[in-house]
Amino acid sequence: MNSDRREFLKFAVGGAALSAVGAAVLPGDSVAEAAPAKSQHRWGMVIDLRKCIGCEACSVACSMENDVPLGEFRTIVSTYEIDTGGQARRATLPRLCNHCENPPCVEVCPTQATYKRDDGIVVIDNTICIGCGYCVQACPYDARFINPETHTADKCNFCVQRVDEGLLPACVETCVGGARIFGDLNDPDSEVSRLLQEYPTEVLKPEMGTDPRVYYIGLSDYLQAKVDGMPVPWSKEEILEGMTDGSAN
Amino acid sequence: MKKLTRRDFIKAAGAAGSLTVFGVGYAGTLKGISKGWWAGVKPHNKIAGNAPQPEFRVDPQSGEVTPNPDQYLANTVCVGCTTLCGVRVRVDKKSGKVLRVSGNPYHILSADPFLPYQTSIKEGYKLLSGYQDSGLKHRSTACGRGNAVLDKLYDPYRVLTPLKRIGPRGSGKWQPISFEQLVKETVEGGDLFGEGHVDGLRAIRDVKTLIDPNAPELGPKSNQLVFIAGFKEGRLTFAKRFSVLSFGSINFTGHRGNCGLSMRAGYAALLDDWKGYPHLKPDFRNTEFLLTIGTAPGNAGNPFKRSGKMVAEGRSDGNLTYVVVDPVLTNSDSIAAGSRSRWVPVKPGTDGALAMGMIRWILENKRYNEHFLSQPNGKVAQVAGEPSWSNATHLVIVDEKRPDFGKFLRGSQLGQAKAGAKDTFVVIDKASGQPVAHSKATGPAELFYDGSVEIDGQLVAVKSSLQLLLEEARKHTLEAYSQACEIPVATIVELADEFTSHGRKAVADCHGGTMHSSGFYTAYAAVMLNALVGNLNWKGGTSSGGGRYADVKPGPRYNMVKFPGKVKPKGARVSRRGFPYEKTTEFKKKKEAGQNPYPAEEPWYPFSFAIQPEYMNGALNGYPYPVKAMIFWNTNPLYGQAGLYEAGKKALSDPKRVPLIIAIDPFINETSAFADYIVPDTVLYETWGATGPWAGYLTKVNSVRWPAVDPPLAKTPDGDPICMESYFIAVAKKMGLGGFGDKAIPDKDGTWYPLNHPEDWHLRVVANIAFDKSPVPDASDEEMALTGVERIQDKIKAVLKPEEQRKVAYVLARGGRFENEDKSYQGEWLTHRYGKPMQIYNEKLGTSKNSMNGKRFVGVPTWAPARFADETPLVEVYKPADWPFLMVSTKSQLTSAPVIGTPKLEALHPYNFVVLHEEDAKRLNIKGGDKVRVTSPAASVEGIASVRLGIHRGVVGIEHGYGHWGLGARRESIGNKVWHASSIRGKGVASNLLGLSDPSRQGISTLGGFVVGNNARQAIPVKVEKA
Amino acid sequence: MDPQIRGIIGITHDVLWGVGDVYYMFAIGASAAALLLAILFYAAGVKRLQRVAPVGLIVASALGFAAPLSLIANLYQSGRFYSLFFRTHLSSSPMSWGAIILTLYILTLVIMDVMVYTHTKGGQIAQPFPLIGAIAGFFAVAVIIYTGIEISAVRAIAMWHSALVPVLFLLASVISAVSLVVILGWIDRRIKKEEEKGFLGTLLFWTLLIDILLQFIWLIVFIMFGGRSVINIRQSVFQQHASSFLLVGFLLTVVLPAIILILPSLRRSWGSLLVASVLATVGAWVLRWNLVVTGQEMPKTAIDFNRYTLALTGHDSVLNLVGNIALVIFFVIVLEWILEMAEFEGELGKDRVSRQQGERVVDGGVAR
Repeated sequence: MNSDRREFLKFAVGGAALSAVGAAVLPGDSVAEAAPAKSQHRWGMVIDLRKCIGCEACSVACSMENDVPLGEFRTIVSTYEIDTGGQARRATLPRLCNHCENPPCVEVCPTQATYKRDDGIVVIDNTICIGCGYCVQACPYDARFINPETHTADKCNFCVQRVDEGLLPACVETCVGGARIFGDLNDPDSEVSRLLQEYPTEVLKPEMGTDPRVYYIGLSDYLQAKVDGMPVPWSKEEILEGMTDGSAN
Repeated sequence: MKKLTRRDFIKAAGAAGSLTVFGVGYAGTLKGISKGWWAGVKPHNKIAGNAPQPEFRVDPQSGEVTPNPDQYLANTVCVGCTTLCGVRVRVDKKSGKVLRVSGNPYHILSADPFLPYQTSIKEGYKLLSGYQDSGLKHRSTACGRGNAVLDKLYDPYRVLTPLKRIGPRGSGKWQPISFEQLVKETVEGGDLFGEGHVDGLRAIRDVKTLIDPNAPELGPKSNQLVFIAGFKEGRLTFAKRFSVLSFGSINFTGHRGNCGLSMRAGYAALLDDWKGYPHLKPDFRNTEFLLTIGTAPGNAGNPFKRSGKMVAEGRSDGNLTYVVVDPVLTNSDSIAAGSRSRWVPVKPGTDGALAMGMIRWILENKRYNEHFLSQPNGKVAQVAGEPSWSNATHLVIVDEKRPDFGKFLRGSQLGQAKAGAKDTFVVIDKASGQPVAHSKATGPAELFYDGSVEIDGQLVAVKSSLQLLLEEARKHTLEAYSQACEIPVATIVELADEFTSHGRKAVADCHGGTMHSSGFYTAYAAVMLNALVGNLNWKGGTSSGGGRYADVKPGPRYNMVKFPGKVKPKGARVSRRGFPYEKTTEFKKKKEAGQNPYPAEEPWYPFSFAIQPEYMNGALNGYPYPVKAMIFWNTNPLYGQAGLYEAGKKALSDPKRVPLIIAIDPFINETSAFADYIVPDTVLYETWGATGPWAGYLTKVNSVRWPAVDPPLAKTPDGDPICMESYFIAVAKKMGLGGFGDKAIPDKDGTWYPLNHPEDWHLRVVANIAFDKSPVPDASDEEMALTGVERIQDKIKAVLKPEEQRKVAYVLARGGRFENEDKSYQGEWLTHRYGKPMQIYNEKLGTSKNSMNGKRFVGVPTWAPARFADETPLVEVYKPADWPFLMVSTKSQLTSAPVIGTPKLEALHPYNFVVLHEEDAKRLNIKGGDKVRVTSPAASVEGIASVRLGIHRGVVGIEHGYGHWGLGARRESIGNKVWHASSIRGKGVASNLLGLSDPSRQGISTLGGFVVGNNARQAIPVKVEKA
Repeated sequence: MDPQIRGIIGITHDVLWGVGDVYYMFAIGASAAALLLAILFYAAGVKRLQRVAPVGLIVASALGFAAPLSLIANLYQSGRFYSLFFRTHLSSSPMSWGAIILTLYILTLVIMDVMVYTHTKGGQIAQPFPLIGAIAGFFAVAVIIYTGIEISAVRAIAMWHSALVPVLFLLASVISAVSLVVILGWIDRRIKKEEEKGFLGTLLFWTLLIDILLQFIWLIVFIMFGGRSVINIRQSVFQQHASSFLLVGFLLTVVLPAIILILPSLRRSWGSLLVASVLATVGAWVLRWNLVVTGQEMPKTAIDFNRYTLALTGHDSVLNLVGNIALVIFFVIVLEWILEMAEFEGELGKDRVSRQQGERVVDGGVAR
């Protein structure tokens, strides 16, 4: 248990009884109904950065598959130019929800609209989410946003609608370089398990104690946390503005 | 109670007032709350949001596939860029809308490994799924563009009905017209715009009368129609049937002259085919060392996705090390790949010096593959274990006084062969030391020979091809080459050393980065490296592609190229390509008048191919003859041809120069903006088409496109969508041209079939593909249902013979016909091998002259700094002191001509920058994000600076594809509707606006390569300042 | 050496919690602390605060009733706010606790108001009500702490994740409560005794002093000398946002009011007390602004700072803010009126009359 939670709970004990009574008395359907039956899977992703060519096929495929509103991305390949002293190089870093073992977003959600399924996929129930944005704040990976159309929190869910039907997430299906490898971490014979055994892997911001289920092969330490450098000059506002000023037909 | 006081009143007023303010302030919130549970749009599913139901389900235990009955998955072809990958289009049956696009698993350009052709559609679904992780191996992808481009189907700025201009040309004022009016006016002409009489197509089509009886080489008047297309996206043959074979104009071109002509010409010289212009690509999977000059695999180039995949795999799991020589660092590189990937910055336009430096080092240090090069002919080579051979040992006559100077010594000249078609070349036999006809040599020949042979009793100086290359390479020292290209000598040597350390598994390739004025020799030099290691037709070496099954050919079912009334076009092209100046009346007249015939009025290009830029220049100048009508089909030279917009916009606006301009285009781009008529066209998955990969594949591939969704277009009276095919069918029929109408296509038995609808053509092309070699199996009802082919079942039944129908459906269901991957290799050799010898010396090149100065071209690769058409060096006119930077356009992974205005890509990468090196920027006091002005001798543009280290010093890099002023970035008025401009579509900088004119030429011109006339869109001298 | 990195493709993220949330934290903190002030009299019977207490209660009630609306307005699904009560997440979400604590707090505020209304007799309450007061006090403290913890529990945002944050919130709450009581007490002329002003002035002064110390520790020790993880906070606080953190947030609105109140005589003078109070109120706002908005401007993964643009209308806008402040004013007017009714019906009815005539009322007597 991380320190905040402990810190918070100490304070919380006093009011617990009172609120528990309140919660029991008030009506409402149980959150558990949304969770699937016990799963023996534990889905996860390995991203082999050596194979990422930064083509953004994943970003667009995700956006198409999941009807992600313009300007928002459930996954994006951050692309950088890196100078390690003399020689400039390119680096790409596909970012998405890390489907943490200890998801801080789930912890803070006041209505349990977001939760981790048995198979490890962290999802949001948009019929429960009140759009407070607390999960967006709590995610260390900038993986969440408030969907401007549904007015609820949104993020990558490993294309749960596909995975549940035995398919692969859209980003994985369309990964040109074959950098995104998705599968069952519980299955020792799966490709993800094999890669985790074969290669040293890193996760983003391990110091957050979130225990991500998205692993990277070939991740440089200076990209592991917040990246320091010179930004891309364009802003989301500018883009959205430019997209809406024209009209035809 | 007390009475109300004034104070009470003020309080009450205050209370009421504040409550009102609260009400106003919270009106929005209250409105939100009043909506109840859903303040936003309610998505379909509480967890998956608006994601549609998956296309099928695969049971994780049994692998059983359950398709979703509400969707179908059409295997067809993407037209999001020129790669033309096979894609799988997921369509919602109810709405007819495309939900998403991914790769066609049968297609080599999208999947690796691709599915064996006989795999059932349903089995393919299983293999693509998470079932036993098989989808990871068999995944078939679409790139960022390919995923996004479907938005173009629904682009609000799409032309859906024929348009006619009602204002001055280029004014953006249009009137929707009927199809009948379109056909009538374009065919019959008349006073169409109230500006005087305009000849229609009927008047122009005169295949008998010469344009100029005094210059018969210019051909008949029908040549005064110029057809300009984009690229071979699968329908070009149809357009060619109309404009060349039926109409009878010789002026028909694609976009190559703006795209990669220099590269193609370099390969054409190496591969000795000035007609087919073949080119090579690495056998990526097995290549160990790849040197790319002016192209960046995985970032640009064709095939984009496949090279990306192969590079990604090669640098991680495989054995590939690759070096990208480019002024700008791109996503070809990845720091995660470590030293497997390297970037060598180069000064723009000077990559030829690097290649020549490498050639010199390789030749001088005897690092070339002697075994390969010394084979005198193909048979001996095969016996020696070489799947290809070269003319390295062939002797060239080098006596400048002789009329046959620059020609190969022929066997007939030594009495060793008969003159004529079967004449031979001559080599110095290594064993005997004697000259011998190359075909008669039985063993290796001398590589370096500098001597003389006796011809008709005279000693004539000859040299072997490789000797000529060595001498040309020795014209400059390594230091001089290094100085020119700004790559250290050590790096040149290192690259040459490395390149020659991998046997046949080293490959050099080039592309659009060589599109500068000396691009041809740059490309020839770069690709010559392949000859020096003898990698052609080797596993891990180079391949000219796997070929395809018969399509638009005299095929096994239908003869698609024979019809009554077929015209064989004659005469010189407006672009003056493929025609030596020395054969023109102009030349002869000058000569007769005792004048120096050089320079020609405008350059002629004796062995060039598809020079779109010179069609534009020629048409606007009316040289060598005036043009009466131009048809642009899905092409945009005003944006794509560097320098054209500034140089040509005025002339193009003038209806007297080119009286009739028809654009067949789904959108109003920078070029169709100048049209008199716009004919709408089908887009992407609405279209038919038969095409194939460009290169980089080893097995036979025919990619087939068919209407997987219905176009929203207005229809012809015959019920077809108004598009390129239906327009040409109607025009041809109205004009009574051959090749269209009821008697148009013969089958094998000579029975005639009609061409009245687009499918009459396209389905028969597919029938040829389906029956070539051994016919494909029959499609089942299930496969036709799953892939949506059943949607066009009526058309299949109406057009094809019963025995053809299910076989054609089988091909359509799989998006083409594909030879299986196990046919790639025969041992260490490729199965589909290129047959001609590699040309160390190219005779046609070495015996041709520059029409602008009468100088002979060098017949081997050489280092040629940038120059104008008359070979005046650029730096003499535009001095580096005044123009300290060189501008290059760089390729984007996200943008290409067909995807401008796709919101999903705009959101990722809304505009481009003016990229500068940090040191240059510092000197100019420019910071990232600053507005800067880039000025070339021709024009000036403004953009936002991006300061980087991944660019060579002294270079301005501008990503191509942004800064549009058409395609939605301009206001158009259409009838009583107005299209308001979308600012994001115009954002950024268009590098081609900076392109140069050629001051050594007289008329309207854009700077081109001095050998083949490729558009010089790279290495443009510019200066930069803070705006 | 760290490599130089330049972004080629990337996106900026939204600052989600803006002016409305800052306002809520400011207002609810001030409300709770003002209630504590009132309770000192109503529950603990501190006589000195007899005339301060009603002002405190009005401040507490007006802000306490209005502020939560700002919170609801800032939910993207405002219509679902009530689900916070039946879809709880008490095991780990401070916000879930917050919803309950806030509700109970408002409930106790209402009870306090009713109690004060019914027990007021002649400007005095018949007798203190310690139990209800204690419960109200408990929830007041709980509200302040939960708002602080809600922020500081977010580990992902470096600037928020500090144990000092709840303490700074607490101090800011007290400072703003005292200041607002001073301001309202001057406006409604309930506060006039030197003793009362002195008490408030001294309380404000010492709280400010502690605040100076803690902000100093926070700014200098935590941020200036913090490790790698606060490198961006440093950049933000000492460069990008130096003026709002150091100049406005610290020197002008914390140090300066403290300096103004150094001399005890100045703590009793309306002029200096009011100036200090206004400054300190702004300071309490700016602290929340700096922490909440600037904290979100700091990127978690991206290179670039996120930028907050203040919307004039719509979600989380100035219009929203103005609306809520108007509601506060409405409540102040209404509560003042109700309280006066209570007082009128008691022995001090004449006070009201005399005050209406512009006279100053001192402790049941009439004075000039």
